[in-house]
Parts: sequence; structure tokens; C-alpha cells
Amino acid sequence: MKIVWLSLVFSFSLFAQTDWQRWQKSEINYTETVNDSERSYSLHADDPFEFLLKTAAVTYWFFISDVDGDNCPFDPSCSSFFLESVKASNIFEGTLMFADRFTRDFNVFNRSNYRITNKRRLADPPEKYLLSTVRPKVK
Amino acid sequence: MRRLVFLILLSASPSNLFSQESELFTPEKRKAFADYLLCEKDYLRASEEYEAVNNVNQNDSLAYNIALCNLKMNEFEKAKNCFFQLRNSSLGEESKLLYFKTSYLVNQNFDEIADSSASRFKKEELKTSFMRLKLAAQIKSGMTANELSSLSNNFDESDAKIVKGFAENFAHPKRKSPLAAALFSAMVPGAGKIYTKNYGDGITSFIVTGLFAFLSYDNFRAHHNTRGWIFAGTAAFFNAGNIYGSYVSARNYNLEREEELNNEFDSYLNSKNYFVPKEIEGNCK
Amino acid sequence: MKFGKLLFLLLILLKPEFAQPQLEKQWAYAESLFAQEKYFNAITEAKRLAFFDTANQYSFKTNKLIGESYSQGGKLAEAVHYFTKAEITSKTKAELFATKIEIIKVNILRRAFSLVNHQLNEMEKDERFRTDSSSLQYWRGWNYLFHDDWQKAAEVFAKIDSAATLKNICEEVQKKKYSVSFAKGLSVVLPGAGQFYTGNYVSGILSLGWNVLFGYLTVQAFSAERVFDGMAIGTMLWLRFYNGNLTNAEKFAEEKNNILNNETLDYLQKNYQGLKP
Repeated sequence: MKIVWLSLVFSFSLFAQTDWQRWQKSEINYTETVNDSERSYSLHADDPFEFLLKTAAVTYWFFISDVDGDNCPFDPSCSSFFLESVKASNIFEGTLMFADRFTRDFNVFNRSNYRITNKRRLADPPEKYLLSTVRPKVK
Repeated sequence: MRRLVFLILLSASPSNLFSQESELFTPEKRKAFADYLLCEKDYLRASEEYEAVNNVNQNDSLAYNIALCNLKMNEFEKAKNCFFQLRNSSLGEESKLLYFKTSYLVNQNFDEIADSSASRFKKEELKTSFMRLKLAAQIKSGMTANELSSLSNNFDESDAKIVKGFAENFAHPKRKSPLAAALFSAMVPGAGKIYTKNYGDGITSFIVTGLFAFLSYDNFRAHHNTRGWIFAGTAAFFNAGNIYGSYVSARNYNLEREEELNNEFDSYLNSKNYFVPKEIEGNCK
Repeated sequence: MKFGKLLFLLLILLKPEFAQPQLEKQWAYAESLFAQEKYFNAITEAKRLAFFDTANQYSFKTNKLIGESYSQGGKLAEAVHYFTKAEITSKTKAELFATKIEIIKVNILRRAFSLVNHQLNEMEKDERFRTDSSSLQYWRGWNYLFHDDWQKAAEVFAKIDSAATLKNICEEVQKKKYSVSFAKGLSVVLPGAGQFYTGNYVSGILSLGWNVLFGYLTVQAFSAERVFDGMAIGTMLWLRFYNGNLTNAEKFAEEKNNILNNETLDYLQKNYQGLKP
């Protein structure tokens, strides 16, 4: 019993940080959050070109990607990665990033250098590969 | 007798009426409670208690403890201001040192520290602490071990060796050239990624691009020109991505090494608790 | 002189007795903050009380109050920490039982299923809690319920007279749930059938369509003795969509069940009047 006591006392500092900011009442929800796919099927776009890309992507998702199983280990998935890359840079750079991602998708060797997301996928955000990124969140 | 009854009433009543103010909430007791909270790492509550006492009777050591709490909670801007205001107080030297430490932690802007001189510290212990902080700042900004002549004076022999090693690594970081990586991949698919130690991706690139190139060659040889062009295009597409990816891979390699080195150095310094003399950390058991 | 002596004596005599109401008031103060839902401050004042309570008279009360405050703030790990401290400082059997149950309630909320199971087992073995077995059963039921095991929850609640409502709710959920293996089994036999079972008709039709198309192309290639083409279409397309069909049947059933679970849990949280975590 004494050991339990002592370990409790010493473990206190582990979560001392909780109270470094004032907090309010907050009820715990009984419900469990489900990790839904974050794919947005909306066709909302800022320019005609983006609209075209999104239409292509949504069509691909609807007819193929959603019914051909879980084939992409990454988050975001390859098609989303392509959309996000083009949006963050330009069609040229975005396509190159997508081509690179495609090869990495085939990689069957060591993949320990990716962080695992809470959806149990390999975190691989486009920001990591943009030329304009000065300090990407590596890992 | 009547006087006595009156006296009893008198002595009893204030403690009942103003209990919270008079007994557990006297400045002395609040300070004792705050000290306890500080040791428990309950810094927000501690600083609020110190503040309450400080509002009643102002005191440098209270203000100093408030600043310390803020530093511990990573509220660097607040802590910096508090320490700055205490620079001419009775805890001036300690405050100045912690001001520099906070500044070092907050924005990795080392000029302020590098431009300051240790002569402003009279206490020997604080002077050494400051010198170590200054050296750390200089190391991070890339000065070589040879340029840091005061290094061996301020660290023990064994530690000086380690710190010199860090200085060497900061001055000559392990880098991969992004351009070279791209060039390698342009010559042999995947070579750039292998150069940046991304072996799995490099080999995959080589196999995938090679496969499509072979299919293209095979089809052209059999005079299936359309299929030949399709496979050639696919191979080119993958290799273009691979060249781009190799460039980025080298850049990311450099950034990762930089971050690793920074983390290693910081945690080494932290583990040694170099910059803060022990007496400042309070008297926690 | 005489007067001064008397005063001195009085102060000495009264001093320890003053300390008592002092702590009592502090306790009332902490409790009032808790009642006003100012949980952060309630913890501060409870800690202050604990700090000055050198005789440890309030240890149990303060630890429990701090635990309850953290629990109200949704800081469950901290809550368990302080409830455990309260358990250690409890003096009566009732206090001990109450804190143990608090810990179990928080752990149910944290969905620490096997931990709660273990804790309940230990308590059931304990001679001291022999008379409390129906209460322990009751929380076991909640533990199953949070673990998505509605069948077992219903069985446990059935043994307790007062838990008839909960038993009925659990049985109803169990009835409404989709069977994941049945959905998958249907899709094994006929692609898309599992998706029809879960009500995802569009996906079912698409799956069926792709499988029929690529199945036909594969068979056709083989019957025309284009073995390489047949193998390529069979593995790269037919198999891919056939697997996708199985994955989806399973996924849809799980998703629908999750929605049902969450709806029920939400209903219980908002409308169930009895004891709950």
C-alpha cells in the first residue's frame, strides 16, 4: 500500500500541466467519436480550374475509390493529396508532388519514418513536400 | 466579570466574522500555501496566491516567484516582462540571468545574449551560469569550438568535451545537397533518395521507373508504338516526381538533422540544469 | 496585571478551538464553490484546506471534493488520481465503498473496460462488500454497455430488479444491431448483398456492377486463352473490387452499429434518471 501511495505522490507532476490554465465545467460525452473519412464531396471551388479538378476527383471517389477497398496507407489519400497539393502550389508542382507520392505508395520497405495518425494511417501532408515550405513539421 | 465576558466575545467574534481574511488568508499563510503549490508544480495557483500577497505587501521575492511560475508554465513573454522589471531589485542579478534564459528559450534570438557581458554579474555562480548560456547561444548561432576560447573555463573537463562536440556539429552540420540529390535521380532513378538515406523509397523508385521503362522498350521493340509511348510517358511521369521528391527529400533531411541537433543540445543542457542555480529553484524537498 | 494574565490565558485556551471552526469554514467555502460549479477554485480552496489541515481531519473530504471537481471538468485521469487518494484516506467502510465506486464510474467513462472488470472482481471477492453485490452488478452492466456489449449488459441488468428499464433498452439495441459477419458473409456470396442488408443500396449496386463487369472480362480472357490478360484483369481489377466489396459490407455494418450505439448512449446520458457514470 505504501508503495502505491508513494508512486501516486511522485506521479503527480505528470499531469500538473492540466491546471496551468483555468478550466470550466465540461461534461464528458457518452458517445464515442467515430473516425469518419474526411473526404469532402463538395464541389465548391474558387475558380473554374479547381471546379474541374474537384469534379474529376469526386467522380473518381464515387465510382471507383469508394468501392475498391482500402488501398492507400496514407492520410490524406492519394487523390486528396493531389487536390491539396495543387491548391497549395500550382498544377505543375502539384503534379510532381503527386507523382512522387505515387512512388512512395508502392514502397513496401521500411515506412517507420512516418508518424501514425489517430486514423491509423501514415501522416503524409502535402506541406512537407512544398518547395515554398521553409520549416515543415517533419515527422 | 462583565469585562471578562466582553473580552471573550471580543476575542472570539473577529475570527468568526472575518475568518477567511484573518486566519487561512493572512499574507504569511497565503505565502506558505503558495510556496507549497510552487513545489507541487501547480504554478498557476501558486502565482495567483503570490499575486494576492504581493497586492497587499509588495515584495521582490514574491514578484520573482510570480515570474518563475510564468517561466515554468512556458508563458515566456510574461516571464520576460516580470524579470525585466525586477532587473534593479534586490534579486536583480538572478532576474537578469533568468531574463536572458527566457529570451534564449522564447525566440531563439541569441543576439541579445551574445552582445551582453558577464561583468554585469557580481555573484560568481550567476556569472558562470550566464557564461554558459552565452556559450550555448553562440554555439547555436554556429561559432566553432576554436572561436569559443572561454569554453573550457566555464565547463568541467568532461562536459567541455561534449559541448565542444555540439559546437562542432552546429558549425559543420551534416547536410545533403538538394541539387545533387535531384541530379543523381535524373541520372539513375531513385539514386537521389538513396543519397538522402531514404533507401526504401529510392529502391522503389528504381524498380517502378525501371519496370515501366522496360515495358516501353519491350513494346517499341515489338512495334506496339502506342503502348510503347504510354509506358514511356508513365515512366517519365514517375521519374519526374522522383527527381522532385529527391530534391525535397534532401531539404527535409537537412531540416530533420537540424531539429535533431537542436533537440539533443537542448535536452543535454536541460539535463545538466546549467542555467539556473539550484537555490533559485526554491526549497522544495 | 491580572487582566493581562487573564487575556493571555484566554488566548492560549481559545486558540486551538478557533482553529477548528476555521477549517470547518474553509470546508464550507470549498463546498460552496463546488456547488456554484466553480470547480477550478473549489480545487484551490480544497488544497488550501488540506495544506493547513495538519491533523489530516479533512483528508478524505478534500481528496474526494478535488476528485469530483476534476471529474466535472472532464479531467478524468486527475479525478481518478484524487479518488484514489481519497480511498487511501477513507476511514469508514461506507467512505471506502463510495470512492471505489467513483473510481469505477470514471473508468467506465474512460472506457477502461478490463480495468473496471478487474476492479469489480476484486470488490466482489472482498468480504466487506458482501452486501453490496447488486450495486456492483449494476456498474458491471454499465461497463458492458460502454464496451458495446449490449447482450451481456442486458443479462447483467436482468438480475437486478431496479434495472428493468436499462435491461429493455439494451435488449432493444441488441435486436436492432446489424451483424457484421452476416453482412460480410452475404457479400462473399453475392457482391453488394451485404451493402443492401445495411441499406447502402447505391454502393451495393456499384459493387455488384464492377464485379460483374470485371468477372465477365476475366472469364472471357481466360476462355479466349489470353491467360496474361486474364490474370492481369483478375488480380488487378476483379480481386480489387471484390475485396473492396467485402471491406465495405463490414464497414457499413460497423458504421450503422456505431450510430445506433451513440444514439442510445446519448439518450441514456440525457434522459436516464437513475444512477449513471
